[in-house]
Amino acid sequence: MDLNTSMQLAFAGMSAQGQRLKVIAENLANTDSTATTPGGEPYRRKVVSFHTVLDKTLGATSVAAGRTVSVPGKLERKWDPGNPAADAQGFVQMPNVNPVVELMDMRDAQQSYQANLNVIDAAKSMISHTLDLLRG
Amino acid sequence: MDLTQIPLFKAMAKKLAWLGARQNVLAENVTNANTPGFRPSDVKPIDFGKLLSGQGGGPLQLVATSPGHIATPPNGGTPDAQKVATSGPIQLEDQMMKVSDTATQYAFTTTLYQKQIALIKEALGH
Repeated sequence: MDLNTSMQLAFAGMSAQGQRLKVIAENLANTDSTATTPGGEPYRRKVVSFHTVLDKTLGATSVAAGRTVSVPGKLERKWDPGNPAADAQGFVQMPNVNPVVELMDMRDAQQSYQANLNVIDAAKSMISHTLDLLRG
Repeated sequence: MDLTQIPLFKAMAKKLAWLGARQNVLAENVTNANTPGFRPSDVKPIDFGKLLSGQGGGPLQLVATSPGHIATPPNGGTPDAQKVATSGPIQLEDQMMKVSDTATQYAFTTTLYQKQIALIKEALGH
């Protein structure tokens, strides 16, 4: 049935958003992950990129989560001479993860996930209405 | 008796197909809500009033001007539901409204279909 296409597309969207949520969780978990060697690079914030995929069996434009890239940029330095990652001056490079930004991103991913669920609900109700025709 | 020969049934079947196609396009928009560079689209509305009164309203048909011409397919080769790009970025709220609107219209049309069948059954004395 044709409405299955809607459902398949929504599933693809949900899995992409799930991937995004996974990366956000990774960022949040590593908010304080510093390097293990003195003066080394700490954890860097990661973002996932989405791209369109032409699904030939469905004949529609689907979505897929692409590469996960680390965000470059200036890192904050914290004075903590006791830390194993501290350099000669006693400074530790901290990850460029901002929990507030991550939370905003999380809300956005959640909203998109719910939107896809709504599409599945609507498609399901349309299919059940079609089946109701059989009951006459 | 062929139900599809009755204009109202024909129009309802077309409407259901159109709503299904629209739902697919909306699903495409929602699934790509966070894809950079994706342009949302919608389905071109069809005038169902015209369809009902038998004035066509569908795609234009090709006409053979000589018997030597190859016959055109009955549907003119053009799908009834034509995708058109909409302007601006995707707004999930807007898409959700369209999705629920499509589902409601679908329910409405199937109910109408059932009622019409019941009416015909009534006329047949069942």
